[in-house]
Amino acid sequence: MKRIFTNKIIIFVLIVVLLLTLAAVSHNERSRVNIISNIVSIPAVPMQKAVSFIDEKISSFFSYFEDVKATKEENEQLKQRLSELEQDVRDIEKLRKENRELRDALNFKNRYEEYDFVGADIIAKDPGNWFDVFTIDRGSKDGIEVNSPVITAYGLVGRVSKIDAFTSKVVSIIDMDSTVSARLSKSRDLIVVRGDLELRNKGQCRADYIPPDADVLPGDTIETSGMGGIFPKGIIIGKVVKVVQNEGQYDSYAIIEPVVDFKRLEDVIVLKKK
Amino acid sequence: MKYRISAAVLLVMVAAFIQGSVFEYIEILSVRPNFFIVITVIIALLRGVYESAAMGLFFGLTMDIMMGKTLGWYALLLFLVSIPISMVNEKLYKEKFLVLFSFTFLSTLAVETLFYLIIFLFKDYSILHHIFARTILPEALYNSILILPLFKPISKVYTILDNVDRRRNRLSA
Repeated sequence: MKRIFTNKIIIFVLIVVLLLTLAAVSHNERSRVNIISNIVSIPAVPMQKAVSFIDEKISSFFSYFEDVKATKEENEQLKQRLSELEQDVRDIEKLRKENRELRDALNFKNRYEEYDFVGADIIAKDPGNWFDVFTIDRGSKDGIEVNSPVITAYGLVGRVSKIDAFTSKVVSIIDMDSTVSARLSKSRDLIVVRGDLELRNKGQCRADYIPPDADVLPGDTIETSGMGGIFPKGIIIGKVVKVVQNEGQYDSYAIIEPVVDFKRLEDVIVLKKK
Repeated sequence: MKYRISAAVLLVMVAAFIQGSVFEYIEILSVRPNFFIVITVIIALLRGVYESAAMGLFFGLTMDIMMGKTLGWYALLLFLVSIPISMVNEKLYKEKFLVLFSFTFLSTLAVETLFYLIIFLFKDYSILHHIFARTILPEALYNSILILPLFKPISKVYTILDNVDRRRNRLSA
């Protein structure tokens, strides 16, 4: 009897030690021990794809009716607005806009010419209340690597944190473990954008270390700085909502509204190094 | 035994599916229940120490894998929480509302508070009260309500599995 009791304690201690070791080893995103997540992720892929497909169909069915009503109202407003604008808009304005767009497109292409664009669908979102990590249907077989930047047509989404054979985990910029080296588009001041547990529920994040002399106002755009070696320079992150002075400190921080709507995000682009 | 292992694997997969997909739609104030904690408490109330601890460990590990962060924390916490419950389960009136509610409530508080303390280690505990009020407490309440309709069906499944085992043992004897 005593032996069984001793064995039970040994088993218990052994399991606890094993789990603590697993936690310590898997803390590194590149750790090979993370390969055991394939046990769950591979069989889950078809199920997650099916759920994501059904979800998309149901959402689009219900949003159709809302869209019709909204489009009608919007159409009326737009017609009115158009007649007002027709008088104001000059050909030169139009040409200037076109010119700027073409230059931006050219810059965009040049800036990312070292990357391949890999489209991916989101097949599962974070299961808990703590993080903002989601699963995409591209993995190591598609050449995705840890720390590959993830974007949409609007701006920055996050980075790949773990890869399995057929899926990958993406840590979004509003996740509390995310930090992005960024700059204020207007003043070019360097700042750090990071996730915050309190702001996460609102789909927002914060920008830290804003110098006291920085000219920053609500509505200002924030983009990646290109420093840190993960994200290329110039990807739009979001807009400043509010600037808050740190109590008793030199610098201030800002609350950022990302350009990407994380609640409604369905597909993303992974930038894969050539 | 084969039936038991298949049932356990199926239960883990169903739990993963529900937690990852279905629960996204029943979030209240951006808080979703944790099916893995609920199911661990149910099994700990119904089964012996070894089975409960093993199931707690697998549910936790699945949750860790699904979250895509450090592996092992939920596994450790659910493993630890299932042991004391399964040790006292024979002395409890398991189907009583108060027993189900209080065990789930306290287990969720323990697991999620410890998880928060672990992941925020060396970071910042200044928002603990905020997180406790906005995330942990609502989740504990949510889980405690969720266990009420789930306990009976799962307990029935285990009764069926027990009957199948008994019949097979009789036949082989």
